[in-house]
Amino acid sequence: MKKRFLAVAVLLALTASLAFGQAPKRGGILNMTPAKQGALVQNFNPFSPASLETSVGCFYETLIYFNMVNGSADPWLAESWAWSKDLKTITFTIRSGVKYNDGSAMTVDDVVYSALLGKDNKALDLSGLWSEGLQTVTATGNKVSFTFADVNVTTLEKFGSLIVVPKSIWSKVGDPLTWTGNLNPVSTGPFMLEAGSFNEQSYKLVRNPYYWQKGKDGKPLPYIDGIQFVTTTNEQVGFKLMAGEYDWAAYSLPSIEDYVKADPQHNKYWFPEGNLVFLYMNNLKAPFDNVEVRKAIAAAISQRDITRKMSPSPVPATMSGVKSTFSDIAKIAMTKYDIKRDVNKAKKALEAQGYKLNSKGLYEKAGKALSFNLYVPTGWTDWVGAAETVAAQLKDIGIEAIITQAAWPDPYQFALENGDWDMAISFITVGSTPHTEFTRWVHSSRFAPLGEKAPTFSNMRYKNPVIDKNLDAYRSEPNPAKQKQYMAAVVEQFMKDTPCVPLFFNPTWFIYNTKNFVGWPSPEDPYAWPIVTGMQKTPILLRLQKR
Amino acid sequence: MIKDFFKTLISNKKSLVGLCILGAFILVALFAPLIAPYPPKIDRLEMIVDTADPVLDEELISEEYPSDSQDVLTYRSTVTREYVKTINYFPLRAKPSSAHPLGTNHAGNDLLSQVIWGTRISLTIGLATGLFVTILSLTLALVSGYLGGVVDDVITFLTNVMLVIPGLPLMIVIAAYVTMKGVMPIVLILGLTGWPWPTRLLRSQVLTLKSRDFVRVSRSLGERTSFVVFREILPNMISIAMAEFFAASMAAILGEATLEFIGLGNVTVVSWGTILFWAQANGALLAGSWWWFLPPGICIALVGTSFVLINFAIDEISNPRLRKR
Amino acid sequence: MLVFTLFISVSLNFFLPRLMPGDPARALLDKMENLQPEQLDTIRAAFGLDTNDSLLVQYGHYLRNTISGNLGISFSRFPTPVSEVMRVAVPWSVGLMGLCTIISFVLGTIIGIAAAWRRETKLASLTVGFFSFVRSFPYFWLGLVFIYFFAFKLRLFPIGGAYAVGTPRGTLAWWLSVVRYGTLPALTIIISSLGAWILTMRNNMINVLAEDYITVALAKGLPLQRIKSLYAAKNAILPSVTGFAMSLGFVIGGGLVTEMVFGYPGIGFMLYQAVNGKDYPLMQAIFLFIAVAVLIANFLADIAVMLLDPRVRDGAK
Repeated sequence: MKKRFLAVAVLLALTASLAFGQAPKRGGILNMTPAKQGALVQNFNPFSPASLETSVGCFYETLIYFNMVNGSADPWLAESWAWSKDLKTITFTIRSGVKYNDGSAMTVDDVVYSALLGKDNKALDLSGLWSEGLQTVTATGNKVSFTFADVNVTTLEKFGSLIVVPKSIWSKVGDPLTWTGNLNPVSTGPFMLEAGSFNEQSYKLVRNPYYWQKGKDGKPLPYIDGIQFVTTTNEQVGFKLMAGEYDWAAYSLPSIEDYVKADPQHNKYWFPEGNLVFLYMNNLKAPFDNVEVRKAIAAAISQRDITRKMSPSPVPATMSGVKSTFSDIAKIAMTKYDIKRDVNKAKKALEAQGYKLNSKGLYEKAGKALSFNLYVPTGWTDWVGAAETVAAQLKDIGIEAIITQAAWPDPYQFALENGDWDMAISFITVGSTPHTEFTRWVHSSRFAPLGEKAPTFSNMRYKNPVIDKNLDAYRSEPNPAKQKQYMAAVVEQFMKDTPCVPLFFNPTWFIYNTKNFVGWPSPEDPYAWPIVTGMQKTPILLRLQKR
Repeated sequence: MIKDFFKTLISNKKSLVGLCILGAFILVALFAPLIAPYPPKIDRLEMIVDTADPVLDEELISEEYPSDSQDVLTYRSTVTREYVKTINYFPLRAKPSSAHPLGTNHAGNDLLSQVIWGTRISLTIGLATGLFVTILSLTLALVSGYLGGVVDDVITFLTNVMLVIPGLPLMIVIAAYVTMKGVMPIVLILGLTGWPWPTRLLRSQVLTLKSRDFVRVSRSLGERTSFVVFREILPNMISIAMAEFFAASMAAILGEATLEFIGLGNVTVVSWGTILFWAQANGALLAGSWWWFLPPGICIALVGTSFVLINFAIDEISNPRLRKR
Repeated sequence: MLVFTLFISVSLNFFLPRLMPGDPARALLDKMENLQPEQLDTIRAAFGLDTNDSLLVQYGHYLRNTISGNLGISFSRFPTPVSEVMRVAVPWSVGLMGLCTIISFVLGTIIGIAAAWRRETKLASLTVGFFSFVRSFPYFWLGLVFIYFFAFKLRLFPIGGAYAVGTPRGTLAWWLSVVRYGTLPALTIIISSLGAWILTMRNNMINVLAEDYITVALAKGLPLQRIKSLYAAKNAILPSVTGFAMSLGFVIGGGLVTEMVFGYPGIGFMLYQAVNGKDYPLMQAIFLFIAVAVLIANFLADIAVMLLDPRVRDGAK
């Protein structure tokens, strides 16, 4: 009898210890770099353009979480949603039991109020919904419906930027845009400001005891106790990282390999693709209006050679201009229209267009040599380095690119928008999906002739009616598989026309340390995009636990 | 007087050292193409070896016999050449070795060559700016100090206002908006922010000289203004103007390095300042790559010191009391 | 004259940023991906840039506001007022740079006097030579090398920042921390600038020592120490005082490189960010602050010269 009792007791103890072994470790303060350098100013007003990056993501949260790595939409403050049959209305079921960090409850009224803020004052329309044709917002019970003027299923992504603020506080503020009093935000997010911790070089966040998400042990997330932000500068951050003063640093570190070598077990980094950097050619200016010339130029460029010389090396781009996580939409286009570096082929192509080598070794036609200013933003060292490699590669095919630095954003953006320049290094935001990327880039609704101002990023002076057709069809198609087909057609046309040469993706600076905390995203487990602005960082902060 | 001037310059031990250092750098700058192992931006060595003798192939394409005494034959001649091209890329961020005594930078450029070629740009910017500032401030000082009156008031006022604006922030403001091409913008930026202080200094010297007896005598004798200025005042200002020249040149070399370091200069030219910029941007010091980070800084310091040493002698020339007793 | 110069620099502060190309609202918002044109307009309105008032009218508003102390709202840190933004940074710039300039001046003066008094000795030559060499290094180079050796490798000093994070302000621990964090930047500043003061003072002193009245005092048998300090040094300092005052005024603007390299939250770096971010109000306020500082410093210098130099004082009588 006793033996049996003992056996059962041992078994129970073992099971219990196993269960406790699964229990997540709680505690610890995460050391992070703030997004801004220099002196910190206490600005947690999420509507302010100068708001600190913790406002959205640590304090305020959004209706859904739109994962920019794979383009999926996950429930967040809204539990579920559905489109109406005519695809013009989307209805969200709001999660119940969500509390603000002062203990009061978040209500459907707050959601409606937050959504309506952007209606009359466009500066408060952070999600951009009202500019996308949102007409009405209505609430019934625990559901909120948004009705749009036209069919556009891509507006779902925008709800990933619709933050919810407490009506009881914000309705009493005169002008939300200029309110400086939001020093200790009342919000739904996982963290709150530790009173008295804010000064010009640091501030500290602590857990929100009322947070709505629960961990594996049934208690509220996050597992960590708080986050300590300490400012630093570009010159300083290398030293500090090597000394182990940060767990998460969103900075560029050229000697990243030395950092890893210093402690290979714990010092890690991951630089997932950010925005796409490309060699811009003005498609309305000769000779770039000739597709064969553009293709010849593309045949001079070796993306790998460019990125090899940059430190740390960013991910080289393919001629499709699409991020690697979305590469399946470019498969067909790549087999048909990819261009690899082939100096002789490029030279022959130029000669076939009537160009002849002149005495300086440059190709010339009708007395005009192929010599252009290649613009780069002043002080953007990695781009300047890339530009130098591009210029050297172009020289191999008899084209002279003179590197000219100009200040960003003015006159740089301005000149590009006006179509003043022939050649430049430019970038396009990859957005949440390739559809967003290409719409912003090449949709003809954003096309402008030379001398007229084109919207930001839509400055290549290129358009293609087949691309327009497919981009428009995508907007009314809720089926992801069919959406992919439309995008594949877009990329095919894009590569066929070669309006520019994609070079590389700006790295998302993500240097982390597993010595104190584990649960980080990595190339093997890319569960979230590690940028520090917005909601993308929130799942990471919620998954981290003490080692 | 000029002969004495140079004699004093050379006899003074300190300035002799300074002149030697400066002279060495000037020589390096002049003979850079001969001294440097490679051009500054080369990152590879290409070797072409023929694997077979070239084969000449001639093909008759067409024949025409327009008349009895004339044949017109069209040939196509093709040369087939077989060769092996070996491209040896320089290692990136290499440590010093016999092939690269100062190692290589992030793009594989030989650093010794870069430092040698960089001497040209750095010295040129420094001395050109120094010259620009000295001539400008000397002119303003002479005009303002000698002519006096409204002209003096206006120039003094302008100088005071410019003095109140701090140099580095003003440089940043201008550099942030200028489109950088070549080296001229930097010289202009440094020059236009560097003239107020020397102007003020030189002007008080002009005023002092103006009240001296020999000048007053000249004026009361009715000599032309240009005579008084160029023959009486200016010669007595040579030494102080030269001292200002070297001071301004040193400030320009340091200023260029600082501008490049902040990222506002032209980072595509190869100067000591840009080498340091790329070194810092690539974490050279952090990685312990002293061969990348130290030499340009030491070169700047040596050139600066040479200026200071030369100025020692100039001080002694203009102020005999400073000479050895 | 003082007030007029101030007025002109205040006016320059207003027109200079506006003469340069660029749209501040765009500079701020270009970082955001979801930029909508309507948002741009509203922000510009909030910045006060959308007025149809002529430039002269805006200038009038600006003058009125500046005199009444309203420095406006920062663009890059919108909607925090400029005075609030500057308030956190000014003490660090003035504190670190001001203190270092004073120490450098005092130390340099003393060393310069000694070097002049004993100019025959090898020590004097070596000292002067050493500091001349050190001051020819670019400042940022010295700073980085110091950090690398003393803070990073040897762990003698913290890598950067103004004080230890988490220390409550105003306590003894805090002050000690400030001193500890400020040592390395202060060292680099002082070592870098010592050379200039030593040289100036040495030359001035040598000049004065050769004067007749010094020879007379020596012949009369007055104690050497008295001659050195009361007669020679006091008169030799005069030309340096004006230079010292000027450099005090520039203390604020010149701190940029220090702040970048050592991570000090001062005004220099703030100005740099303001220029890059086209933050007109912040730029204007900082330039104004610097102008006022320089003019006050000049004024104080004139007073000091008057007190020290009997010739000027008696002449004024």
